[in-house]
Amino acid sequence: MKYIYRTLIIAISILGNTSCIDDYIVTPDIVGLDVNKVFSSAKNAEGAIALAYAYNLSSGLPVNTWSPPYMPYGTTEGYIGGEDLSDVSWTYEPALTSSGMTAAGPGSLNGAALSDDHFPFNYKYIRQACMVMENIDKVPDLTEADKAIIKGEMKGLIAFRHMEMLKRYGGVPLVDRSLTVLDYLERSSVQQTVDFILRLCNEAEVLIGDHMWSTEWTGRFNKGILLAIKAETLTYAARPLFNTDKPYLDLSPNNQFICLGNYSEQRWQDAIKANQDVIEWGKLNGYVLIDTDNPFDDFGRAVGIVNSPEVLLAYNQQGGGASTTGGGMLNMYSANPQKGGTVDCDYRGTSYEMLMNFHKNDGTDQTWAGPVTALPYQDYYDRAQEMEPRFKASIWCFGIDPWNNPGDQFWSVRSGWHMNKSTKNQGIGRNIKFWYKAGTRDWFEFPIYRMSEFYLNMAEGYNEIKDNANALKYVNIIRNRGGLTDLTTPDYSTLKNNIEREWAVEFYNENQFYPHARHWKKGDTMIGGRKNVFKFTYVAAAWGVRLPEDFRTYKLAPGMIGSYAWYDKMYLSPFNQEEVNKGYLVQNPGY
Amino acid sequence: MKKDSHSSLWKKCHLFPSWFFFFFFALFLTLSANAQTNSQTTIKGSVTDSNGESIIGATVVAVDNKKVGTITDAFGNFQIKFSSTTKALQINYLGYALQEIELKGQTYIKVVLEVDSKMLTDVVVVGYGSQKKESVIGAISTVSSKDILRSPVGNISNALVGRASGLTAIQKSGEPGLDQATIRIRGIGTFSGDQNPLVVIDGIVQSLETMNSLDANEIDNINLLKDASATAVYGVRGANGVIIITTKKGVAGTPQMSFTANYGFNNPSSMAKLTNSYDYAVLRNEALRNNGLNQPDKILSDDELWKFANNRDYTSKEIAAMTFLTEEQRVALSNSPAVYYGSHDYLNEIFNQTAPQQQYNLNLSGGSEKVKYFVSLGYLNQEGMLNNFGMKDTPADTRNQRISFRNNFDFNFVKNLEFNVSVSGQFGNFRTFAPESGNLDTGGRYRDIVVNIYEAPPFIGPGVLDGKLVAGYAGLKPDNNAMGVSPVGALLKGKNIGNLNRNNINISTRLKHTMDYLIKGLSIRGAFSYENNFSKTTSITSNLPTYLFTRNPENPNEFLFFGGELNSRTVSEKSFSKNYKVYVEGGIDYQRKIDKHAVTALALVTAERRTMAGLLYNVPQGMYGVVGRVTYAYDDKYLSEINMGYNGSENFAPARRFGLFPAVSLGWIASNESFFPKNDYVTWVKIRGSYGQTGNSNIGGRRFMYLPGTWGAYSSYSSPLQGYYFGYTDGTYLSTKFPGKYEQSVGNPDVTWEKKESSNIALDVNFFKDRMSLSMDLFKEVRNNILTTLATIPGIIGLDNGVLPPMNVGSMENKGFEVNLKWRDRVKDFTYEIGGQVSYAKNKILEKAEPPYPYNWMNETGFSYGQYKGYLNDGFYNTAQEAANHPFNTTAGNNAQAGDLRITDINGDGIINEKDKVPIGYSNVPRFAFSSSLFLGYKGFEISALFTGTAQGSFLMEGYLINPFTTGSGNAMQYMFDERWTKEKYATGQSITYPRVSANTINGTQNGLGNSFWIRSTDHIKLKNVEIAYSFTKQRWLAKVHLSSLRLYANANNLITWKRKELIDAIDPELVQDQYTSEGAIYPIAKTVNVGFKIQF
Repeated sequence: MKYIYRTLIIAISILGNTSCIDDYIVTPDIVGLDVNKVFSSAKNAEGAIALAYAYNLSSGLPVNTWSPPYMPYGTTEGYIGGEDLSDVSWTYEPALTSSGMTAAGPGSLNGAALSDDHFPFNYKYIRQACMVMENIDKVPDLTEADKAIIKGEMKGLIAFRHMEMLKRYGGVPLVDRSLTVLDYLERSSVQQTVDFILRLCNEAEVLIGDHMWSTEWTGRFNKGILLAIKAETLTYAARPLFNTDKPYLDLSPNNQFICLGNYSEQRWQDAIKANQDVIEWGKLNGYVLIDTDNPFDDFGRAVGIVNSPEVLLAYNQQGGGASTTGGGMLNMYSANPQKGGTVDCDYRGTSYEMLMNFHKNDGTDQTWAGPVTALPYQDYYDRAQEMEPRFKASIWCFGIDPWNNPGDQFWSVRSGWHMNKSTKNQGIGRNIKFWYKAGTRDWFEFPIYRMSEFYLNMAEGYNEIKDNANALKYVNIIRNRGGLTDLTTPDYSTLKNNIEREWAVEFYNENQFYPHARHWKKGDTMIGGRKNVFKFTYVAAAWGVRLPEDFRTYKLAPGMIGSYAWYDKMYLSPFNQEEVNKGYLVQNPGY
Repeated sequence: MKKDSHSSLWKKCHLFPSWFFFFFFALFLTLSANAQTNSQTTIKGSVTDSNGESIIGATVVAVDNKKVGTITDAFGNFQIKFSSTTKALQINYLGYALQEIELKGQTYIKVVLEVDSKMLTDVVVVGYGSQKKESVIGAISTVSSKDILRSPVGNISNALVGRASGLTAIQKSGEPGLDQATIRIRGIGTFSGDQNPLVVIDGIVQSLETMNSLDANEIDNINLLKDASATAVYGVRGANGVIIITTKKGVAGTPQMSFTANYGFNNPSSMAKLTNSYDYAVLRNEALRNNGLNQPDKILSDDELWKFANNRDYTSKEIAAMTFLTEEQRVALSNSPAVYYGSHDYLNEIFNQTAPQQQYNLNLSGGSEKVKYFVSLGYLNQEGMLNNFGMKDTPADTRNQRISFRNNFDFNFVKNLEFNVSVSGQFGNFRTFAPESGNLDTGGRYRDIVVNIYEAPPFIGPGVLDGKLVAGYAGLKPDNNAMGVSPVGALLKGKNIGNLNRNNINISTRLKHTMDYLIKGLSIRGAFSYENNFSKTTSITSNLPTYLFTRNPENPNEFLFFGGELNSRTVSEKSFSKNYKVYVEGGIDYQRKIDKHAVTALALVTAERRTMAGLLYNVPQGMYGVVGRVTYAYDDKYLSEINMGYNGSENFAPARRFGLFPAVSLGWIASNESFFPKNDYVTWVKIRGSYGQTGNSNIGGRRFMYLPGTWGAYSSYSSPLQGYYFGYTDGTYLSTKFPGKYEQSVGNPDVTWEKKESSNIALDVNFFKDRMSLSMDLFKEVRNNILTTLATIPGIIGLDNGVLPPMNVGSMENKGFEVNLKWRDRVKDFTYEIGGQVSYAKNKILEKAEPPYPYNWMNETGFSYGQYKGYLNDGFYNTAQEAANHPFNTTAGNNAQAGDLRITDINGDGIINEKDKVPIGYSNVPRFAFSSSLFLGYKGFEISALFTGTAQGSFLMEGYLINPFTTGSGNAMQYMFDERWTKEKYATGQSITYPRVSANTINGTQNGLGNSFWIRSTDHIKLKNVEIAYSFTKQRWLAKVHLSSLRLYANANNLITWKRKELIDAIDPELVQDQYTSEGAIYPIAKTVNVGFKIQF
């Protein structure tokens, strides 16, 4: 019996003792951060707030250069709109511009659309803002007033991102709370989307009030930014793409997703009022046009310095532009000689078609070499010198020291590490707009709202309601500041063309051209068609030509993508086929 | 005598590292116990079965004193010293009738053992135990150590290929140390979880890596457990099949020492052929013209073509113009081979080294009834196939070195207690070329070096010239834009020397206490094992001197070199990892046969815990499980079994943590029925079947899937999407950076097991007095609850795929069969054996939570796992007019011209897009795997051959394999040159298997897209292994040199491959397809030729 007992005890202790399971299958005590810890103090919550900004304001920016499906596949809106051209052939840019947007891109994009946006990321970013909004009340060391302001900021960011989607897709599912996997939402109409954005901005205005941030927190939302979002939303609602009873392509019975269903002049009135509000608010709060009657420097400072008083909102990323580390998006715009030599900017330049928007200093049009006869390089050199101040503050011509970094050896074409080589170039010159007297600064903050935008919106709006006097008034404010003489034409369409050209010049490479082409319904003329560059010949076969004496002749020639495709379906972007397949979205027409 | 044996062995021990002393010391004690002192006679002999096959491990003892004995060696030979009073020997081997042989003064005895029809012949290792072969009803394949030793490979997985049914294998790389095969047992059963089989070595779960680094000489046998009845005891880890490895144990008797030495060479078995300079130039000019771009500056001129064709740097006209040279100098120059216009096959120059490989093993086994031992020490050195161009200490000096040891001791000196201690380990040193980051993975590194080759024109630089590594051209560059920087320099100078040290030590003990005193047949057992793994990667910069080269402008016959400085070398530690695993096991066994009823029962608890740095939340990884098995057999005719695993996984919430995985199986040995006519034709018939469940808890390595959501924080950030700046700045300084905090995971408290239900029915028949055996298995398995993330969740939820909670929604089916046929016989001294097996497994995804695609061919549901999808090719556009009418193509800029692939518009909507991608080919893992083995033996002479093959497998070519001139000037493959579309070829009706060439296939044409045109069948037959051997066993001279046997052999692996012509040279049909190999970033799989010998003392 003793044996049996002993055996049973051993057996039971081996088989039955499950208390030691916990020694083998351990439940972790500490599982890193959870939502409660993130919102356990103001300090901890800062990271979540910062990321909500980084996410939501990134719309339309090449925030992740090489990894699809982030917008825009190693490109910029400037490139897909043809403001800049590129010589890069190994990314998705050429497919995008030569075959147009598609709902499902090449296989390696994993089912994402070949377009200017990756649709689901919008909601990932909105979710971040919602999470902050829903959890900020947990933070013990913030006052109720602080919490209200943060909620206002988040509402503002959500409104901003929906507006960016409105511009690209028309009506979209409206989300201002964190969804669960069981939630199901469909597209809303354009009108509902507009109303939603305005409602969020109004709510945010109440929450933020007149709070202005100390210098320590520059970059966060204030009332002016909310007004700007409303102004932009209402302006886009008034523009021809949406403000019509006849959509660009038929989507019956779902046309409400892509247009407002009627034309109403009131929409222009509303837009004018909203833009006026931004300008007025700006004047009271230090956000104004820089206009000291030195057009070149005024414009240079407006667009090319950090925290310019003309910039109401910028994308505050200050990583260096040398590589993807530190801020890969800047590669696309980094004219900085030290950084640009090996990165993407090296391969892109201003298109001839864009060049033709710029005036000569005297306001007339410039004539350059044509496609047939090559002219001596000196002709290019001389004509460049004749251009208007905003050209000189925006473009770096080949073989010419940049006008906007005068006397800076660092930026001179004669400096050894110089990257402004024309051999790799596709363009007539290179964008240098964001680098006014930049010295060794190798980063910049992409401007999202610059005050001159609201003046041009006003000019456009007044012209649409046939109020020529006011239209001329506002467009001339911008022309004046740019060093051009006043326009006087009373003719609606001439003025319209002039305003559009003003937009192109003033906002070259600031992500306005492409959405304008779409919403003015001018994709075929502004984007589609032939794209040209200047081809140079050189004194000797050499690599990395940059000095004026290295050049021999220049003439007009087609860029790498000789002709940009334009299909009417591209007035709005495709939703990813992958998302459409899930059945909750009605795809935009043509895809 | 006693003293002598001590001292001589002691001397030998000095040869070993100090750690070996301890074990040898223990051994000597046992040896000395064996020593005899009275007057003795020596008897030699051999033991075979009735077929003449040597019986290894048969026990030979004196009838009058059973403490005196030995066992037969690997050739069935024995040698034993007896007291002169001994009259008879007793020879015993499991499954054979016991034999007593009277000595009658003989000194050499030949013993032929007869199969004991009553006794069961063989023992098969199963999960947590062993069973007599006849009573096994699970699906198990066995590979013998003999077969494994025939493969001169460094990796056990490679030795298994073709040796067992139900196993398919593909291989990623031929780099020594990383050349293991990817093994699938019965194909693939899950699309989401881990697909690798479980590895169990001597009862303890180990990693595939540990299995692969075992010395083949340590292995006694390998069993593959395939069906639920065999794997259910492993429960959650058994779903992908189990590989059970049993190492050798000592057998009582005089010490047997054997030494094996192998020396061989490795060569690439398949490698891409690239174009030479002339063909390259012709092809590229054609490509530029095809593109219609106005790029006259990029066209290579006729003069340059002449230089390529004639291997000269200067045309006669150019030389004639060099009036500053003397006539002799001009003549010399016209005869001087080209440097700037040379032609290099960099792939061949870099990879085609005949790489030596050595392998040695020394082992000793023996013991007494009380203590038995097996001690083994092995050494392996495989050099890589990279060429170091005669330089020393370069990143190309690659090798894989390994020392492995094993000490298995069985103690039996306490009544009712068996005690086993095993200490084993491997010390590996792997040296290879490394990128700056020190990451030694098999993908990115190969890409690094191979891409340099593909992207270089064949004349880009001389590489090593006059023994000097040329890093570039000085002074004037040649017109062809060659810079002098070659892929050779990119490897020798551009890469670091990576060094990976891997150590693994395993100590385990097992106890078995028989409790017959309590209940007959009852025993309890326990096991403890500790495993320690250590690895460290260091990176050393290459500091080879490099030179700039130019021909002297004043006399181009002279070569000028500049540079050559040596830099300092830096060594940096790149990674370091240490982990240990503790395993414990305790259980009760019962085994009893009463009359015709044979019953066994097993209940066992197992637990293991792995601790290592860097585990999530710093929590060790654990497993806990209960195992149960009951078998019942009646009269050796009716067999039944219930197996059960009950496991817990950390991935699931406590309430759902444990899963029960049962299996039942039944068998009937019809030939044992009394009504079964005894005859010589059908001698054995068994029918068996099983049904059961197993599980899988792993999905993408994610842990604690049940936990609520977590947030992550970026500590520093590199992308704009990882944080933001707030604060005023004027641009001369940075404002404050705020790293972001983000949602990292969303938990699902309801997740649970992936469950596999499988059934197996089988028939085993032996014919013609067991000369022929046939075994057929038919299986079907369905896996449900596959853990996956829903692809149907709308993107507007705002959660990335990696953040989405996993759910049990997937379902997959896998079915197939295995047939084994073997014939073995002996005609006098001639032994032969022919065998063959076919394995087939086909899977189908039944449910994958996919969105409802407009066309069913877009789904993965309904197709096999890994089914390739792509456009369907319909020949070429042969005329401009045909091309002009092409459907709109959403990719590649809607271009098409004559000579391009014609893509079928499957859905007829006039647009070529994702909707037109259909299943093409099969998947990379072939459905059929077959092999055939052949063995011929005549006296000491042996030939064996193994043919393996697969069918219904595919490889989709991409990247460099189909696109020439990448980045503008990269090289092209010869097949593109030979088989490209041209107007002339089309007009004259020649064979065309490549589209027209383009300078930019990827973006400039639609030819670079995934297309059925680029799917290639991997169907093949390989002479996988062949061995010729001769064994000396009875020759007198052996005794003179104190050897009991000597075996000389030559063998080879991957010797000949017959594959389809469509599979281009670059691709071995057994190559794994992944993102790197698809585009051609391949380290060639090796062909090995080896000679060796084995001596036994």
